[in-house]
Amino acid sequence: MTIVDDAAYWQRCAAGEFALQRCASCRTWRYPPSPLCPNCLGREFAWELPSGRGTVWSWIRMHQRYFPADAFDLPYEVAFVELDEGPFMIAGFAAGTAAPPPIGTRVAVVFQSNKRGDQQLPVFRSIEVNQ
Amino acid sequence: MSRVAIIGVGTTPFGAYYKDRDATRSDYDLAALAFAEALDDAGIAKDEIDGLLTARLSSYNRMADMLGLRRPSFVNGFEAAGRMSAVALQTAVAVIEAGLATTVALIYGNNGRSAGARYGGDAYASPTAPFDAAYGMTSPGAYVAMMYQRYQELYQVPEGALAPLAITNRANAALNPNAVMRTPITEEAYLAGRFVAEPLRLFDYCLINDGGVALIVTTEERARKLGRPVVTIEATAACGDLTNYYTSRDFFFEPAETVARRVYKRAGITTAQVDVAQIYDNFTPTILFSLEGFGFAERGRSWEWVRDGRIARGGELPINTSGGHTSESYMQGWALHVEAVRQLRGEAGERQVSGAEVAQYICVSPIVSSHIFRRRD
Repeated sequence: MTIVDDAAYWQRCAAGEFALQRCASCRTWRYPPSPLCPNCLGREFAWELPSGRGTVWSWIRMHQRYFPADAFDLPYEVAFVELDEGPFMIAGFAAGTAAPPPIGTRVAVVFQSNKRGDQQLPVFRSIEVNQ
Repeated sequence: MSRVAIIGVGTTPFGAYYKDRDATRSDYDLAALAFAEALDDAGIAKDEIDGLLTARLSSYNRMADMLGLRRPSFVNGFEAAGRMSAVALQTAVAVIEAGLATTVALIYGNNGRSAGARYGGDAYASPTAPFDAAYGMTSPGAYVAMMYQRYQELYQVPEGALAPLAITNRANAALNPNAVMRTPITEEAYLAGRFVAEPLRLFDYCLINDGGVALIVTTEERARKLGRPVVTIEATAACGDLTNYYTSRDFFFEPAETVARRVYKRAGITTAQVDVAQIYDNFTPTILFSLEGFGFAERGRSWEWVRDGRIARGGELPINTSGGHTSESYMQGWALHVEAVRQLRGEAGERQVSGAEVAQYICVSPIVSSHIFRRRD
């Protein structure tokens, strides 16, 4: 049995690599990490590099303090992105994004540090020509 | 097949408990208070109960011991999620129809206010929560806000479109002596409410308060011997939309359509015959998603449909007549079940919908569920 350590995902992020699990049998991508393929239940997988591109499904702006003040400055925006490979992902917008882009905006992954400076996070920036 | 009927309902005082802010209440005690009221309401002896379903309580053993219900023929406990209120009632129906028990008590206790429940942050964890929390994403309200932001953009919905929902709930609560929040609100007050997870504002959110709710159900045949108006469960159905996210990619539309088709067919009715609806409103957008998925309003148009009094007590489809989760009490669907029964019995006092014979409960959530209740004299 394959044991998936969630840390494997974050270790790749720390190295600036956006890698997702992909089923060795049916080639389905998945996120967040899971020990088996939700499509064929196969347990063999590899960490592969997706295109890093996706589409903005929606976003919110959080005003409520749920986490310690050293973790986030209120308010902050959170994105929900549909990756081109299929999985959906809660993420952030890249620093410098003036306003959350409209739904359907094409985006690509870049890495940036969290506020505490202890984690490299994949976040998304618009790749639309008119942005 | 013979039907299952609700013969007893009980609720704790919601408003009075909310005012007494310093009290620390036990969820088991709240549940026990509601159970005693439901038993009294049913007019049966405690030893007639042979099935026990608890919800949000960590130990059905403790609940059973407190209530002296030592030897139920069927027992189970349900998690704290609000979607479980309908699932618990479905279980009771199935248990009775299967002959595993005859008279089932469903008992729910929620001391969220006393316990300082926050519904978000590091302590609110699912196995995949850390992946979202890394970005500050947490709380069911934020995942619903994610849906509503997309809904607004897709259908070009103006700011303030949710206000009629919050305002109607509050107007209903003003007529409910047991409600927590009874002061009417205006659109201006709604818009002045602070953002929590934008685009949702304070009055789009459910309350956090202490309370208990209990239901007692049995066969229609037994219910008829009690000499009270009989409220039957004509139909019930559910459909999951289970992912790692409370955010549904079609605002739960397809599962809601599936559930709607099943309940209306089984009950032999259409939406036009629903006299009063109790719609799960942990956050106001879920009312819109419910109205669309269940076919009351066109897809993308429910925000217009709810305006101009259509969902008010005297309107075409009175919704959440007790004040719902944003104004009466956040009992995670349980008190909405009770309100449906009280409306059908004609016991809703000033907020009574006149002549209500058919009530529907709808919960649009990762387990979309619905029941059709009917008064049968």
